[in-house]
Amino acid sequence: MNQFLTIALLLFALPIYGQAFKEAWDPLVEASCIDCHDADTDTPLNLEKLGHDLSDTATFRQWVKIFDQVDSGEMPPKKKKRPDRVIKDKALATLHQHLRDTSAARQKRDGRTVARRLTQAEYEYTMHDLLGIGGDLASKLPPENTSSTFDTIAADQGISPVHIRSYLAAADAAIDEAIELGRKPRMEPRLIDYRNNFYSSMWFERELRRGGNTVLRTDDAYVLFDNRPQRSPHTNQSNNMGIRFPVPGRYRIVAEAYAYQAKTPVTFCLYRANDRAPKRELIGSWQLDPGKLRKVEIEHYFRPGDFFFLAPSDLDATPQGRNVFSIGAKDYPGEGVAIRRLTLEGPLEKQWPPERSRDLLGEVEFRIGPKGNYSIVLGNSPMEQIEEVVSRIGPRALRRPLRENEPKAWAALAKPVLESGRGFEEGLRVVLRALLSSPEFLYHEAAPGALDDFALATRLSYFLWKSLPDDQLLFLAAGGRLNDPEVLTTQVDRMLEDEKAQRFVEDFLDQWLDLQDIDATTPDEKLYPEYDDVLRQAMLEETRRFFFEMIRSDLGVGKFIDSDFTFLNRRLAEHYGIPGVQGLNFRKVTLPTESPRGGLLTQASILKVTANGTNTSPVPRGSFVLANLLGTPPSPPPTGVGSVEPDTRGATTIREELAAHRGMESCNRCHREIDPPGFALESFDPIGGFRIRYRSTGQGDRPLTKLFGRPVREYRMGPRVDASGTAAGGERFAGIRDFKRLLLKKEEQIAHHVLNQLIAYATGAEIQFADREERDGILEVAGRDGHGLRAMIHSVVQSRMFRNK
Amino acid sequence: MKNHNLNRRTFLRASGISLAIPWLEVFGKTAETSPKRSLFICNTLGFYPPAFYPSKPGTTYEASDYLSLLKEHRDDLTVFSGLSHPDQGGEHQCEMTWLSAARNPGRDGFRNSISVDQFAARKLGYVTRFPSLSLSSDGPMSQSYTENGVMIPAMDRPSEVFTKLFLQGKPHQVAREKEKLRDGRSILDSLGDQRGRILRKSSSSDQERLEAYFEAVREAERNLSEAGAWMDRPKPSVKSPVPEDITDKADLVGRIELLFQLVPLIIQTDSSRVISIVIQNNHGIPLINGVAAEHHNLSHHGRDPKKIAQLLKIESAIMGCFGNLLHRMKEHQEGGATLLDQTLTLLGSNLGNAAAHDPRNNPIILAGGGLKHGGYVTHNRNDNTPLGNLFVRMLQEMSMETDAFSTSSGVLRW
Repeated sequence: MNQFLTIALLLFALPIYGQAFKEAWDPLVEASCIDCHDADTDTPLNLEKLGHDLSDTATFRQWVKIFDQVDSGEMPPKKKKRPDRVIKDKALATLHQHLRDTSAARQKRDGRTVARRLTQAEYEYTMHDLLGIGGDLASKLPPENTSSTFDTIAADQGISPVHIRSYLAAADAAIDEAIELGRKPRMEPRLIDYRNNFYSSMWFERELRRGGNTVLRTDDAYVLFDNRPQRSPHTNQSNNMGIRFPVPGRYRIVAEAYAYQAKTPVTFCLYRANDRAPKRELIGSWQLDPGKLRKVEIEHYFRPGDFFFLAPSDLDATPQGRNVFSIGAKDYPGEGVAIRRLTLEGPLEKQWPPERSRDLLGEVEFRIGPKGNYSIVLGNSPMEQIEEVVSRIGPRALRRPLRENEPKAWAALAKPVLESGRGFEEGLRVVLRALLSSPEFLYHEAAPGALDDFALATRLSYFLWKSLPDDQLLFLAAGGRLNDPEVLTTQVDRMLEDEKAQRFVEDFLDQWLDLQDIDATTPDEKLYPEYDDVLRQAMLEETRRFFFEMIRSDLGVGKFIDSDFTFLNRRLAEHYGIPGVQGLNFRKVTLPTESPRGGLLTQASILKVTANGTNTSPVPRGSFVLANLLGTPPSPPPTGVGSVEPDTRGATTIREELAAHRGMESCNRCHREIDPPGFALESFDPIGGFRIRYRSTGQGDRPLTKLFGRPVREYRMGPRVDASGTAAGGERFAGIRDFKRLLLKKEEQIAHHVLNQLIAYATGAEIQFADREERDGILEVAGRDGHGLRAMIHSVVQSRMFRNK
Repeated sequence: MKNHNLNRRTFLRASGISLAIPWLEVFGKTAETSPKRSLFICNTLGFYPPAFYPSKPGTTYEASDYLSLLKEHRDDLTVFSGLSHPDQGGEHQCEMTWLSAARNPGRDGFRNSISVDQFAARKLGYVTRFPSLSLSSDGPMSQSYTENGVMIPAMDRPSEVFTKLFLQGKPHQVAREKEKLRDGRSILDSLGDQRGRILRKSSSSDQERLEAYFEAVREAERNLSEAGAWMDRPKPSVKSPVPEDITDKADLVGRIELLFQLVPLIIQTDSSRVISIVIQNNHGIPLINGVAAEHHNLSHHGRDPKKIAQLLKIESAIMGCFGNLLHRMKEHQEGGATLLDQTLTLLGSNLGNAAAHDPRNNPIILAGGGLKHGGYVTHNRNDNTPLGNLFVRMLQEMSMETDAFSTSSGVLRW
């Protein structure tokens, strides 16, 4: 072969830059790695083929993995000979430097974060804040990639013609809602008289066997006994009472209700639903105590096509365990919810056309037409007015000042529309739809290097508010003051105080702790009859409030493992067996010392998302602990292994089945890490209730507890739960309380993971090699104060990672 | 072949059950040259294997419980075992890769790839009003993915599908729709015009991302323009009334049946040649006699015989719907052939054993499409044959020149 060609090829295959670390690594590879990691072995890593070109992202990633595994001592495996200390240290130091330099150089050239697109949720909130609307837009967009850690991670976000067409359609729907020029609707409170309504009357009279007689009319009230909202109780639906929501907007529902024939408190629920939307939404629930009339009130956003319905919850059956369907409402002696008066008011607008339309359209007049519809009367030419709207909306939508000619350039789009005689509103629509589908609206992008003040305002507000910067942030940005660390601190504090910070709490937890999967499975009605929407909502509420309290009071991440408090209402407290919590309002509750609760893992929401509807398995739960809390996700099972098929007949337990599985060394290698946390959580059923014995659909004896004021007949008590185990490190634990003590030793690791998650979520990019030093610095400082969560959020915002692209 | 005959004959006397004017009369083609279609149906919660598979392979197999529900179609279908996509996993995550065969769904950094229906639709383009149709029994999740791994939302309301396909709309509505479409195109044009300015000022890595955005804008514009061309042609009208949506999710069978009833209409009117239907999210206790728990819970039967008995009832009902569909497809002729002969009809599931979330050994039935049928074809249950091989065969039968799809290793023949 031509000598020059050989040299050229060599150079190509092996950049000079890689030479130094190749030289440092070859001895280690020869001595300790190549036996298992060459072309002839079936480990996934082949060091003969890998090469040293760190500019290649896949090669880079592989070397990072190698670095971490050798650095942590995981490789070479314990059973093998220890590598020579000097050789190993030199190899690691050289590789570290090369990885860091390569990563830093890439960041310098491109920035850490590539152009990031608004997520579904961000799009929705942004439109709400920008246009003053409240409707559901997210569902019009394609769903986000669920395999990414967070949907904010730019590199994992997709874009397609489907997106583009969806943006056009969603913007159209949003503008429809923003520009309301229809007839002024009736707004004053109107009585919804279920008692005397024709439709409901039919059902008072109709016989039980023909579907009637499940609701009751008394002298002063309308009484509900059917507590299964999933069966869509048509007799209680507002649309069947002739109620329509003529225009989208906020409405107020006021009800006077009392507990009927009740000895214990019952719950009165209000739902929003829509025949076209997939889910019913529990919008309010209130506890009614026996003997007391209660007036309750709620404001909610409704759109045409929506309706609401009433439903009771927490109803005790008769002592014989009979419900209204077997007796009929007229003779039914059990608990119910009585509605004495119900009114609907709204849309709650101060004027008409509503404020949001006036805010959008600017200085225009409205003229009322013969049919009550409004038309717009312009003081300017249509073109001038459109420019005026763009010059107001544009800087907020694009989160920066507009260039001088920009309003004109955007408005020019309206020209053909105006010329074809379609008028101002149509012209404006086209311009707004374009603006709201434009790359600068949909993407956060910036030049590599430090973010300018406006880009920083954008990153900050999308981190903590999931939406546009407000006037104050834009004002600070315009004055060039946002990059001042003290100003940033003040702003973060202010933003966390704001109600919009709950969007961050919700969105972050939905993804970090998989709370978005809360409805992925529905608990089996026979095994878990106590599960309902009120409990479901309480589960989510607990975790969100708990997390927010940790931010608010700057509590250390150790509280994620164990805490002496949590947030409860009566419903959840009863579920947990904690006495003394009354009413459905949430409050911080100090846990009894013997309670297994405290921390995240024992919260019902987490226990539910890590189970399926019928049963639990230590594998997904253990895997959740490793991946979501400790940041060390187990490798997925080799394909073709399948999983354990649970058995709920009451004869065997999942542990017994797993034991067989763990006998195999190839399984055991990972399962000795995965299973123990899951074993400790075996004390909790799929809906997060504490259990000593499994519930069974087959064998077992009758439970002694009561359910809805009657004996349990749905399930039986199966085998005893064994929540003991041996942790991967060899420590024995008897149950969850022991296990939490073991986990608490890993506070540092948990803080490390939580911090990584916050950085990735906030900046739109996972931690990169060049970020490690800064991340470790933040961690160290945080560690001095017990890893307080609020302090960590502040540090993230102040970091180089956050303030640079 | 932008023909004007069509206009004269658009009033197809096609209805769900009754008479139809055969496709070839409209287009003047014979059965040999008239197009093949594909229909992909996935029941995401699997089929209980002992009730699905016959015990012996070949044409003389004794029908299993489920297959005996399809006995009138025995000669029109082939049952397969031992097929699945390689490297699947997760719990229900293989739902999203059933049509794409992408590896390792749900793992960190996973990105889906193009699904077979979209692959076919791309090749076909706008030869029909809709290059493809993605339908679902509940909710917008579909199994149709673009090549960038973006899901194409499914339609789950039969009335909406029907309206889109067959209802002309009042003149002012049509005019308004056209206006919107024109507006959309001019908006996309103007966004495209920003490309130079935006790309100039962005970093190289951002450029790559933004290019993807502008490419999407361009393609969306092309789609709108193709769709616009179709808008100028009247929609085919069919005799059957607009289906009334079933809002009660518990009426699983009713909802599936309603979706399936659309299929012959879609094919007869040649509104689309690629259809995918996903049966999923079966929330609420199905209104089936003797069933007292939710479908998903029953699929995790925990070997409880009482639960298995209920599961069999649900799955039999779904199988019954499929039987009705095949029946209807055979009632209608297109040229000398039945609609079924012209349609490669796949029914299967991403789960082989739902109780253990096992993604191997997918239950698979292929019917129609003019293929040789009548047997039970077994593949290795421990070392499955890629299901993609069957997709390749289907694509080839649709006259597409391809010998590979995703993780396929060849072409399935039997």
